[in-house]
Amino acid sequence: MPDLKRILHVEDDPSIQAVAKVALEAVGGFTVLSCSCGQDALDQVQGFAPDFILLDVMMPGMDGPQTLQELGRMVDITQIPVAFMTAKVQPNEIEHYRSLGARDVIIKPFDPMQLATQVRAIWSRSRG
Amino acid sequence: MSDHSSRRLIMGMLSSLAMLLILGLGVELLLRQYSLRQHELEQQRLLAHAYEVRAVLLAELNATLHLATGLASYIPAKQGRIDEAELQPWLRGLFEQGRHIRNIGLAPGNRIDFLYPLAGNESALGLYYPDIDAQWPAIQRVIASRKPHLVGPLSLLQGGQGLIYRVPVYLNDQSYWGLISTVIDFDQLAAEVESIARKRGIAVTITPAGQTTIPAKQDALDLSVSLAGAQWQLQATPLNPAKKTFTGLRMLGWGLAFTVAGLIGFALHTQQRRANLLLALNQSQRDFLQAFELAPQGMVLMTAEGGLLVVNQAFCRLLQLPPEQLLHRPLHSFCPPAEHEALSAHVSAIRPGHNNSWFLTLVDAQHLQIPVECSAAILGSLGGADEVRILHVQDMRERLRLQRLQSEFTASVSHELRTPLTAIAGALGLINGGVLGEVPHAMQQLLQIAHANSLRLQALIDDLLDMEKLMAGKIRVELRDQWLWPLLEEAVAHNQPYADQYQVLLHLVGPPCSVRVAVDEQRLAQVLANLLSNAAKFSPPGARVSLLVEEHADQVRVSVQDQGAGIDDDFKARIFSKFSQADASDSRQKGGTGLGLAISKELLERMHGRIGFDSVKGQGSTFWFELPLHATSTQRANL
Repeated sequence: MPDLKRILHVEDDPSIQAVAKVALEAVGGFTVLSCSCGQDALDQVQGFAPDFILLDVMMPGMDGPQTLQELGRMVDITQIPVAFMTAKVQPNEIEHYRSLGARDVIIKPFDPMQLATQVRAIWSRSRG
Repeated sequence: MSDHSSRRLIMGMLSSLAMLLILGLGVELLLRQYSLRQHELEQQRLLAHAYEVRAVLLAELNATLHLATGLASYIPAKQGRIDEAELQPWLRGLFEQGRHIRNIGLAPGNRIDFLYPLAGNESALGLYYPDIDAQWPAIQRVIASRKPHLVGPLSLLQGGQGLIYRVPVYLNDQSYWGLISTVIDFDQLAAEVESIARKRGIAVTITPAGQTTIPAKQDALDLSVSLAGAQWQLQATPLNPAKKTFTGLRMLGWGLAFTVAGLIGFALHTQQRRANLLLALNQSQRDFLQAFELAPQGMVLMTAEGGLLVVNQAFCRLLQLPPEQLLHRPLHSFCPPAEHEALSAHVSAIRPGHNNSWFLTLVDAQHLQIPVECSAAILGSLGGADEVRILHVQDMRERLRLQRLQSEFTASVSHELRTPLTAIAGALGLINGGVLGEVPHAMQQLLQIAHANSLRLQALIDDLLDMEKLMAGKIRVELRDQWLWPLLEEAVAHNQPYADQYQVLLHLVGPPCSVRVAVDEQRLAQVLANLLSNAAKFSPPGARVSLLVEEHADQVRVSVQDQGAGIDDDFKARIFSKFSQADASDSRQKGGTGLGLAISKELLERMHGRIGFDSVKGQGSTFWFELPLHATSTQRANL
């Protein structure tokens, strides 16, 4: 089973982006590429070749679900697990995210010390 | 009482008084008429009796005088020669027939030579008239007139009162013979006449005409009596004159007048009151209809089946239709078909004293759907229709727009706050977690304070957002049948780190129960976190907070027991209200928004449960919630 090393993080808020990057890199030891919008992620996903993609839901322009749909056309998201990071976690919303192909949802506000653990758990579950 | 009412009352009283005076005057007039009629009848009766008495008097006298006149015919027949032996029995018969004759004297040549009866009249025998100065002139006039003459009553020498009937006797040769003088016992005659009069209820007095010795009496009747040249006056008076005061009749009449005036006054007063009530009712109806017509919200009067009877201007404006296109049509014809059934159910369920409110969609003339809130009540009968309903129709568009704006505002502000807070809390968490290396001790303390307060602010915003979503119905609670015990274990484990800050131990009291409940796992965890964190916050250091489970027939009770100070009585009533804190300073001392219990209550109600508490000041508190048991709870849990 390949190891989880490279994470593509798409988040429009630079502060959250920075905190998540530190949390994943310093706590989890991952390599993180931060993108500030969906289009940026689409542009860089193939060059970066992530093992895991973390997507914010509410973003200007292309939102998280739209970005996921576009990503699905470019990479095999059955092999690269995708999780949303959002505060919008009504059961029906979670169902919606799952139906789009997301493996799970990390609830905002997140605990930066636990973020790496949460990501790793989702990644493990997706690998069976 | 208003001036208007006072004036009406005074007018009513004056009317009654006037009525009383008119009736009283009528009574007095009737009494006067009655009195006059009675007087007239009495006079007629008195007159009849007086005539009768006079007739008796005349009859008595005439009978006597005829006897004397007959004697006067005897003397000429004897050529003036009187044979005493022959005369004696004849006089005796005469005396016996004439009941009132006291004596009969024959005075040839004006000297009384013969007297019958002699006994008791001896003093008059031999009396020569010319010697009686008092009588002689009158006697001379009798002789000259050649006609019998009656005089008296006179005082008799023998005593008593008498009438004297003097008959001058002329012989056939026209020479004067003398006088026959018959003395009639007036006292006896008068007594007899008076006796007869008394039997007829009257009193009579007989006096010579021209004398005024009898004082004029009220109700007295005077009759003249003429006989043989004598003129008398017979005065008759009723023995028992009718009382003319008519006190009884007057009292009865006035009593009737009072009664009738009172009844008329009462009837007028009642009529007036009724008129006033009708006036007030009319005014009230006018006011009601005016208020109804001008009400800023839609108002409708409708039948029990929902047929529109009356609509106001606001309702017409709401649907942009004139009244004639609304009246007599069913309300549901202005609703989308999907709501017809629900509307019929609401209309038929309107009951007096119930909260008859529901939401509805109306469709206006432009086919625009308008959300409204209807409130209905039963008004009663109106214009022939029974059980009329009054419907208040509130246009909800503006309210919903404001609610949406408020909701969007809250969500937007909260989201905008939460995003930077997530970054702040995250960054502080990483620094405090030592991810970026060792931090100087003095700086670390301040960073921990900053981290703790950013977490506290996050919790506050979470609560605000939750409450807003609950109120807006945006939180979906998805019930799932599951074992309760593992949820409690998880809650204790999850909240113990928080309780550690207060040096409080959370303890789930065993043994494990085999209970299944239908809950939203995430929301139940939120409720438990709220109750457990509250208990920890309000317990003294070293205390234990117990989590207990009690299984009942159809429900399970979960209790969180703390060893805090208990809850003040005046706070108990509002403990589940939004933003409630026992003391305003609590929110600063203990943290929290005062929304936790309100959110827990809402969430539990969505899960068909209920929340409550028992607390005695100084003896801690127990917050509990109850959830209905799931049908499969009897199965043993694989714990």
